[in-house]
Amino acid sequence: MGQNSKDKRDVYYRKAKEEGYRARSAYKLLQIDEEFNILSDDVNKVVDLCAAPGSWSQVLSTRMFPDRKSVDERKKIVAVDLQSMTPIENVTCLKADITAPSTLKSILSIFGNENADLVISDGAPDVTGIHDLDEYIQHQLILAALQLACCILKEGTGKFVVKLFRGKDCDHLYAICRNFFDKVYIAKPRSSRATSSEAFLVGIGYKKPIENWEPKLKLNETIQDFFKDVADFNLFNRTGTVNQPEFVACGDLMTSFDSDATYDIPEDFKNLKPVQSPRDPAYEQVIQLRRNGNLSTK
Amino acid sequence: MATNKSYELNIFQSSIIQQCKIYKRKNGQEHNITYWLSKNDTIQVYQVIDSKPNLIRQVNKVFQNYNEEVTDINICGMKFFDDLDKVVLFGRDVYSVIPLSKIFDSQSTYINCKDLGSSVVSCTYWVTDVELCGNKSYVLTCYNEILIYELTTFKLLLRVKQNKLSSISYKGYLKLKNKELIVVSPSVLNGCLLWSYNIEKDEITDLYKLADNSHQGIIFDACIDNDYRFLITCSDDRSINLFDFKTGGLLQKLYGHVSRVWKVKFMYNDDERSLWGIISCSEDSKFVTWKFEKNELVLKKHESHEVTQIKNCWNLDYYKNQVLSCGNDGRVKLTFININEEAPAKSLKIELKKREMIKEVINVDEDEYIILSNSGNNLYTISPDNTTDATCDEIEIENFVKIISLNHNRMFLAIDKKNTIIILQKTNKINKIKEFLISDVTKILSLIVVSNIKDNKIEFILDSPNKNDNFILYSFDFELLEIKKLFSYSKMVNDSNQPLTVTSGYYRRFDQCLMVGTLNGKIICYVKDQFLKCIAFGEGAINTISETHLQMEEKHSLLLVSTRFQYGLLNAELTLKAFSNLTTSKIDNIKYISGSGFIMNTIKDGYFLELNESKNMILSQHKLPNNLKTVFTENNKWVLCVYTNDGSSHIEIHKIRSQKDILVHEGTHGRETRCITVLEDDGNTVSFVTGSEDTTLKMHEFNRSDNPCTNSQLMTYRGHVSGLQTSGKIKFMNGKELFLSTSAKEELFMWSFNSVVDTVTNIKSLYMNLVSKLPTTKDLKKKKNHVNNIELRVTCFCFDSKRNILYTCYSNSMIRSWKVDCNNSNTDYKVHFINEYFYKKCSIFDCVLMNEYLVLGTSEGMLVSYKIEGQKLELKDCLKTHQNGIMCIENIKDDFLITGGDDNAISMTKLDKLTGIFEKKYEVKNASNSAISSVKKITDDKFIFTSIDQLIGIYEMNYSNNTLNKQKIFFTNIADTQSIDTTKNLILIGGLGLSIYKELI
Repeated sequence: MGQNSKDKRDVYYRKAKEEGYRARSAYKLLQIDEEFNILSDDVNKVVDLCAAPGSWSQVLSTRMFPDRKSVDERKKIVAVDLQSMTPIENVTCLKADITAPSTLKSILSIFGNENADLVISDGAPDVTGIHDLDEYIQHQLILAALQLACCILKEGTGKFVVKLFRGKDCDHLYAICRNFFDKVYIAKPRSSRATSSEAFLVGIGYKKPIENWEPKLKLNETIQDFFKDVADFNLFNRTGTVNQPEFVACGDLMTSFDSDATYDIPEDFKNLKPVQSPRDPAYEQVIQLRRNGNLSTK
Repeated sequence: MATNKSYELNIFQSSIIQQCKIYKRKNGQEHNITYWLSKNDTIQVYQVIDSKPNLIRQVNKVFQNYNEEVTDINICGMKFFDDLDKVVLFGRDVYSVIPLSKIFDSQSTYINCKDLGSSVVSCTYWVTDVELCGNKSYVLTCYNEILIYELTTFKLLLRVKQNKLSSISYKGYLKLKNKELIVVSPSVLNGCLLWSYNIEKDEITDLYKLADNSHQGIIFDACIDNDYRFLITCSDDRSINLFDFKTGGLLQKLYGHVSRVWKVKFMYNDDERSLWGIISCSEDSKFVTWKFEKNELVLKKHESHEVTQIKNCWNLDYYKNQVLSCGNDGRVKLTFININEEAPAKSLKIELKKREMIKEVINVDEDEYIILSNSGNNLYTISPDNTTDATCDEIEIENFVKIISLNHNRMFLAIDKKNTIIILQKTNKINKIKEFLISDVTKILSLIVVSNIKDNKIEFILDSPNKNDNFILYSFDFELLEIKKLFSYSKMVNDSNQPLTVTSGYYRRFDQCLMVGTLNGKIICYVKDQFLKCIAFGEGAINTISETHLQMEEKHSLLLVSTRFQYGLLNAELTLKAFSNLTTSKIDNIKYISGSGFIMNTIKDGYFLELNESKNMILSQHKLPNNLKTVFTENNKWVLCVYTNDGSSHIEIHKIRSQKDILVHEGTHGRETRCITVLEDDGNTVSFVTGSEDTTLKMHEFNRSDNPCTNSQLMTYRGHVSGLQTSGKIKFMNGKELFLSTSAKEELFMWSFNSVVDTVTNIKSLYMNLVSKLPTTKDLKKKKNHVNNIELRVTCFCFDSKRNILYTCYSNSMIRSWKVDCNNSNTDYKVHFINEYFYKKCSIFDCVLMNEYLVLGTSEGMLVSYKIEGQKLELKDCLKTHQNGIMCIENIKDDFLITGGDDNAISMTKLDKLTGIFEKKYEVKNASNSAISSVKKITDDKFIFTSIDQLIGIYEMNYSNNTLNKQKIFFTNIADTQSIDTTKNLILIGGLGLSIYKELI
């Protein structure tokens, strides 16, 4: 799909380009904050996981450092991703694996060994189209984020926001997450289409499920090993909708755009280039071959 | 409360198929070839007899031993262990081992897996591969661990961990070489590692890591050949890599797929030992064979076959020249490939003079062809004894313009520039038999044969370019060698200034009825020489239609008409246009076979294809040479191509393969089924239409009385530019019904549906015909420079049968009303725009008419009521009933409506008849884990809903205390569940596939 048709379809895509965000998902975080106040003034240390291309870090940066001149030394943002990211003001970018113990160590040292107030992740794995596999890998990614969150969040006040797709095995994930937070919600920002199963799990008030549990990231240990004493991974133990967190739609109805609606393009509309184009896609070589006419489809 | 288990009531199912295998079962000295496929947690085994699939075994619920109702683990892997008499099935975090002999020895076709003494083992981790050896099973997980289980007790004996990998793998590969278990671990973050585990010594050995830059993305599959010479991998980066297995060195990188490559496999020659090449399949719907070049260890692309619709050929298997493939559309296809070039195409050189081109090719006998060039002075021949060059026949001819095949006694006709018809016969050489000078027309423009040979006679038409001439029907007698003029017809019809030009025709002898097709898309019917009727055929710009074929078997009452991109059926009186459809590629010829549907030939991407248009599948394909000039074909028996090579002209003749590809499992759409509408149900056969994200509509016929129940695709309709939004039936005051379908670009199509009976076979089929398109903003504004917003979708509609008023709602919150007039002829529908309203800025997801109100459900979670005042709408109330979008509304009884939301909730709301004010009565908050995608009334106090997360629920309305009571909840076997319709005792559910339940209600 060309740039132009995406502009017509998607009001948030257009808006993101106009306002300098690297992706439309920036509005999802802003709308979640509108509802849950996750970026309140007392939030000092924030980790943004699977951060590339960086639109959530952009939001963090502008919200936590409104006055760009006098930088509050207590406030730190760390963005982690396997891909390299174009730098963002007041954000430390780490090119690292979120499951590695060394990553945790690096974040803590940037934070001056202080725990985090907020861990967020807008990550999604490459989707194959095989629902079971996609859901499983997505859940592994969420659990990897939760694993890191358990090691770094402030007990009692720590907050957690993670993207998920509401599929058939979600009940299981909800059951696990409930053990780690005082309150768990399923947030649906207005900028995320109603016709998409995308939503965000919001955990408020991090707590250890068992008092003397010591979360520790170890090399060569699976996520299941990490959680083995505090979570049940037997997917046969379905819980249905019993554990389902409260659903909360976020974003002001009156002021925000509706991502499902079709908007006319304003007459003075100028087609802007995306703020950040994709970096090194896997299929680059094939596109090149096709362009040069060297890929026969016969 | 229903006590039956939902899966027992599931009488039909088709969804994405991930596994298919060909298994040779030893039966004494013989091998029985069986075809296996997986559907969710069910496996089916087929045999193919007389080119028809025959279900011989079905094993249900292969992962069941924990929970009776679990239907939600899909089979992701299937592996045969012949020597151990076992088949291993795995999916998500479980695997199951089943004795093969117990499946084959079973007395009944349908088997519950529990009864086979199989075991289901839960492994905690996603299983990527399984090997069996002795009394142990080795399970590879997505975290690259090998879990070793004892095979009788299924106790976990050992976890073998490769410590250099902590990242997840989408797929892994195990191969047992003596006592060494070779493991390919393509992890997402840590690269692809090859390691081995000695199962006797319990030792891990690192072999090597593949170069990080060998693939640019995730590796989806890997395979090692039986002689341990090569390793192949396929990836996100659309390439396939061939490695030296011993060193891990990259030998060759193959490009040929345009999307992600899912599977690779080695192919062996018929001896099943020596390597032939490899086979791969991809997201691009194709499988490709790659052959090792002779004496070289280099692979070259051999053949490419498009086997699935729109997206994803997930898996494949092969046996000799058969390839079994499966895909997103639930289709399992058996394709016959040309491995050993058993019947190579015949290739000949033809000596043409400068500027001489081949104009006509006909076939006079088996392997004998006559060729006319544009010079008109030479006839070339090809006989079986021509092996290197085509022969230029000695016959002296002058200014031939056309040769016409007669299919009789090696005879053919020719016409020349001097108005002569020449009868010729090919024996050793070509002989002139007789000539006729024609004076009935001033000039012969064309000679069109309009009948089949009967009683040694054939009829043809001569047409003239002169508008003052008539066109004339002749009868030619082969025995007497006489041409007799039958009738003559005026070229000027219906006071039109344009003379008609005949392009095709059919003559029915018994009532002397002639039907002709014309250059400008008209079909005209005459009885004797009397004009009877003229109708226009074809959509849009009729001027572009250059060819019209008419075909009709003697007693069949159907007339097949086709243009370059459109075909259709008419009844013989031309009173009913039963059906017409568009194709995506140019029609070379087409035929209709009752029971099978429309079979056509076309050329696409360098292949000559035989297509089953009705089912949207390829029946056979022939690869055409490069530098192609022209292609000639006839009767679907041969195709002759003219191409150039080194400056000279060549001919290649393919005999069209008589062995056609077979659908072992028919499947549905390539993407999600967004809407389902039942058109007719006679208690036995249900005719229904599904509309999909893949932009097509499909007509299905479900047969209740068959055991098992069968569902077959009757027709695939094209026309919508984007994925379907919604569909439904509307009924007029006079009882007439139409089917409506909508999509983006403001498209709303109206279709009539008609039963077509083949009088010979007596097969009745329901076909749809596009009768009208709703005007778009551009049509209404009548402004040339207005550009429609291509994203503007008609999201829902409803019809007021009392007033014949149609309401359409759009994704920009626009509501339009239309008066629809229908006369009694069933063909003429007129739509008049009445009014336009805007609710506000959001999308309207669903609408319903109740008690003189139009009720809308919007993307912001509001219920909106408009009072219908004559032709006007008056806004009455808005009530926020859901936190987020209202996905569906259904009026259950009187003033009560049920809404389903994106907020996972179901609400019961009452609309006050007098005021139009809503009152929310009850809400089920967590009705499901995901959006409620559709709600459908079953009775006055019951409804059924679907949710995206595969949950289906039946609720009862309690009107006395305004509550909803849960009756039944279960998971269906269709992912992305989003559409539903009911008929009599059946429920049809659509998502990524289709599922039909009986007696659920």
